[in-house]
Amino acid sequence: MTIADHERLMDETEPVAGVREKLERIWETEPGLIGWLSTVDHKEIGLRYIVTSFIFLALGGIEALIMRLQLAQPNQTLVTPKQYNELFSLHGITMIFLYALPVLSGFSNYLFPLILGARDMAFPRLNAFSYWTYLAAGLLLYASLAMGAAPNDGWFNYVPFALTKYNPGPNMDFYALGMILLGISTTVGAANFIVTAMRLRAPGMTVSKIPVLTWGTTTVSVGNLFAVPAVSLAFFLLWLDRRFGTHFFGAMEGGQPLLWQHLFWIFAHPWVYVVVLPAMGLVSDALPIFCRRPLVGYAAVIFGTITTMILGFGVWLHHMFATGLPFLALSFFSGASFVITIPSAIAVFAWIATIWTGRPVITTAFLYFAAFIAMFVIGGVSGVMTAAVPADLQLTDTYFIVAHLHYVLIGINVFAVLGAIYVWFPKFTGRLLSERIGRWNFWLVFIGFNLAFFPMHITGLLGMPRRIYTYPENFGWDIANLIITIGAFILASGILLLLINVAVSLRSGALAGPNPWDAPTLEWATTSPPPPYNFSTIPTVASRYPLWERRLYGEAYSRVGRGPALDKGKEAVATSALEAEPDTILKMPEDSIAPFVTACAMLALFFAGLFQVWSLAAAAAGATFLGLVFWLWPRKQSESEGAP
Amino acid sequence: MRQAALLFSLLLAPAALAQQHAGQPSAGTPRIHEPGNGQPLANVPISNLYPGNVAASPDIQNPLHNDPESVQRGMNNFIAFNCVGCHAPNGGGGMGPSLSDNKWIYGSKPAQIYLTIAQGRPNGMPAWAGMLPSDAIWDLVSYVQSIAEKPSDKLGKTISPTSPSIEQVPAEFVSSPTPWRMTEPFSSGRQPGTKK
Amino acid sequence: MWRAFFAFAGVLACINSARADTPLSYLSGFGDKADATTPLLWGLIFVSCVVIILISAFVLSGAWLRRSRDSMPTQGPIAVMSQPGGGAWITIGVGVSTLVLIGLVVWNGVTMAAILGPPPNTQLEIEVRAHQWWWEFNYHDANPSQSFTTANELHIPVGETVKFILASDDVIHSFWVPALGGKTDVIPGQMNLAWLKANRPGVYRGQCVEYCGKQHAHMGLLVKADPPDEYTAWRKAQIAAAPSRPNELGDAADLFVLNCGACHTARGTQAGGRVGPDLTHLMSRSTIAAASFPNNIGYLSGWIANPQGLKPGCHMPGLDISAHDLDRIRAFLETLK
Repeated sequence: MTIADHERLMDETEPVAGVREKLERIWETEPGLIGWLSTVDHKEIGLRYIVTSFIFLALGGIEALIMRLQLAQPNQTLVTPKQYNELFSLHGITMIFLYALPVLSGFSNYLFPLILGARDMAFPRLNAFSYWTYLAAGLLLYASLAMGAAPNDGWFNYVPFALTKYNPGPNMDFYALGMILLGISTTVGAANFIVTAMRLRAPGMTVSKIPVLTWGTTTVSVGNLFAVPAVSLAFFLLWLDRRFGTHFFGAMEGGQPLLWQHLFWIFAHPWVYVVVLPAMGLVSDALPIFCRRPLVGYAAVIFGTITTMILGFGVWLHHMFATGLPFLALSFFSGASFVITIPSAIAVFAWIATIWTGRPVITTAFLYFAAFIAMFVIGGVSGVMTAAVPADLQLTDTYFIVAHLHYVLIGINVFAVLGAIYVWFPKFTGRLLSERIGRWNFWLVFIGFNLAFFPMHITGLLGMPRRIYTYPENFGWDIANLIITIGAFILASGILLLLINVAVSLRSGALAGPNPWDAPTLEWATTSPPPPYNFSTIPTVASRYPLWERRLYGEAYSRVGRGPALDKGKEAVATSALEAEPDTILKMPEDSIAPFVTACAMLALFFAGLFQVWSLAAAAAGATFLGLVFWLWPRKQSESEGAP
Repeated sequence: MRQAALLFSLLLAPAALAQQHAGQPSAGTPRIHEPGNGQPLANVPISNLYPGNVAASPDIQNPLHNDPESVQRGMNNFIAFNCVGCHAPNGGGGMGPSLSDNKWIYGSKPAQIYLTIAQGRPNGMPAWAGMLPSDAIWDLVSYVQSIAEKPSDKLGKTISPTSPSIEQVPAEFVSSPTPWRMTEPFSSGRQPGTKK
Repeated sequence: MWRAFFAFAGVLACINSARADTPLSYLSGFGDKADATTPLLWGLIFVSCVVIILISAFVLSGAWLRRSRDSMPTQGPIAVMSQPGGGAWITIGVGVSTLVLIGLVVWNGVTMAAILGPPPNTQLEIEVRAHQWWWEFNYHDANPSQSFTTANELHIPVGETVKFILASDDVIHSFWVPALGGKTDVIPGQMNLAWLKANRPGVYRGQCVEYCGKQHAHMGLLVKADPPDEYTAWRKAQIAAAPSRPNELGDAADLFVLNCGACHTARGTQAGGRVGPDLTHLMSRSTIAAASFPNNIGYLSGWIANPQGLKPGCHMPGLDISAHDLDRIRAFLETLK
């Protein structure tokens, strides 16, 4: 850092007149289609993530409703077995990969720079690329449905059923290549989150002052860097087995079917934590707003988050208890699966303590978070039940597991996300969501969800296997299944009501103002919606709750609204990793269409590989390379020394 | 009562079938199945030799040619019904003629292969028409067509057993309906040409 | 939550009393392996319900008792609680949870040791081969003439431990008889071991529970636990070849061999196919098509006439035969007692 830069960072004055207009000119996105495709604004990308993932949520929901109609009564023939198998596979893939993490990535993308007091993510173009690749993977996976060859082996995709001998069509190739493409998106996104959290925090935001959402997302991003390679490799090997005659998985040719399960679950179990820890972070950050007090046990919650992720890598075998493993392996992984509930318990008691020692204001968002805690516990204890090997040998692959995983994924992910939408929608759009429709929305979702999934525990205990396209009568499952179907439709109507609320409030919702919840963190210090440059001056942070300092500590130590404006081009402050000392002034990259072009070329490459058109594949690979060259070509930047 | 009704309705099923099959010959007579497009299979010649240069054969398609799983089912049948006993794994040929080359004694068209399997042929090929339903035979046709291919130019040019350029079908690829895609250089992993 | 719990407990109680209506329930055991598991399962259910109720009560009462009179959204500032505290919730809560968990881990370990391996000196061994979508059972004997094969219905002697060798020729399946014990996957390329012991005579239903393709839903099996003398009699009958046919059936047997023999075996005839289930003593079974339909004249006829209608996607093709022939094949099958 030069002396001049240092001087600029020491600026403590209010922004001079005209600086906002100047920053606006520097940071705004060009109008028009090209501008829209080129933007690297993290807020725009974050919203795209959220909207796209909700479209996938709706698609997955429709698939679920069709399945529920089929299962409403015994021996129905609404769909054929082939269609049912494709429906449940696509439902799982959509919800787990195309909704659950992307929606959290959307929130993290939008909120990271705002809560950290930064102007953008560390690698804005990589951010855009991550989104476009995610969209490309989603399109690739859904192209299979359009072609009538959707994946039909569940999201877990066990071999040898996924090999060509039992699945000769392109169904599984869509899944294999789609997942490799999605893996690229997840990996670059993870790298971006980690670097942003490490280096782009506002000056003064030491590690002990980082919001919990950032901890959650950063933790799972590190986890992803370790977990995703396993599954990308597994799907690549599967593709080789299917199309190039290798024998990694086929038992008859000397392969090992269990190898797939290990490679898959060593990714997929951590993935479960990947799609819940950031959601828990959202709650840990938002619950204090409504309880009107700081989160109880911040350090313990962070400790729990990180411990959960680490332990999450040591429990994958509990998906395979029935595969004939030795006693030692069973006891180790069973024990680890019990232990992993302890860090989760920390978070649960921290939230309860926050409610009990605060003064909760009952809003729709608070209702969602309170319900979230209860649903979390139901999903958690049914998880403990399956950690016990003897019980799991009965429970696994029955509807009990379906109930468990939906309580975990909907309870911890969807409830947190819906609550978070009520909290941050005003920040996204400048308008409040209707609380009146919100109450209806909450109660429909809550009642529908419990009606739809609680009876699944019972059908599971009565032995109903998973993944069956129909069931005979007189097994004691009839009434419960009818209730489940009714519940599913109530849940769907609740989600529909949310969409209606969003549509209505976008047009005629009450204006929010910068801080409608009187919330404590930095994103509420700027206008709603925030300007393209987020903050006109770089804030300096002295506590976890900068906007509540006067009330918590009697004096405002943080400096918000005054400070360096950094208006000489697209500039941001990089700080040191632990103490958040100002380190350098970064030159942030301009908008670029290169990420979009590169993602398109990669999509073409994967389609070419799917249909084995090698000439097109070569052309697309060349285009991908050219896109990268164009992307990384050095610009004329005399003072360039910062991020790419 | 309900069960009785169910029973009755199920008993009607064979009756309905009886109506449908009223004109068909009875037990024992080998049946020639019609593949659905109305073309009589009986008109299909059993040889590739035609008088003049006009193909007289009615062009009958494999009714399962759009079903990607047909080839796999055919492969399973090929093994399960012991076709491999004479034709060898992958149709490599042994006591019976090779099916993985592109030579056809009784014709290469789907209908001709179908008839060869259904009617049997001299020198040991049994007639399967009585034993297999037509769909199973069409699956076999799909599979046999899938493994039949002109041998690679690289084959048959070896001058000594120590220097073959490619191996035709490694034994571990027995379960593939496309064995010709699985040829690989002999050197991979083994290097038979190198002297140690 | 309370109501849900009572409903839940009520349903469970009903279930327990009426097991005939819930053939796949595992809430009560009928064999040593299940008997060892059931208390643990109920214990876990109990602990889970207590935890759910406690936590829900904490959340509900906290939100109600501590609720603020302020309203949100707001334009101005609202009071913020500045005093620290609340840490005791975490310490006590996590401490108690940990103690409960340790207890459960110990209970789990003890139960695990009890169920994992079969007791030593297990004599009877049955090879289970899972196929898409039916079960093959091979009763091996040192004397080959005493070995036999059957399908989809399994007889075991009451009170005797039976070892199962699990093998698959196609995809992964899972062998599960809930009333007698937990499941074990059947994985191609590896031999898995399972054991069961029935303590009461009866018919126990089993099911494939690992997703295995189109007809995964219709891959059931029945385990019939017989008193030892009945079991011996059954075994003897199974070893015998198919009984000789009455004369009035004429050449129906030939018709069967011709149409079905490529895939099915009926010992005592020339039908020796190994693709589909062994039919030697078909009439000794109470169900057909992997315990999917009752073995009566209606379903048997319907199954021969149109298996794809009853079990779409299954590997048995529709036969192109006349109704007359179908009738005679069925009549022949009915002699396979």
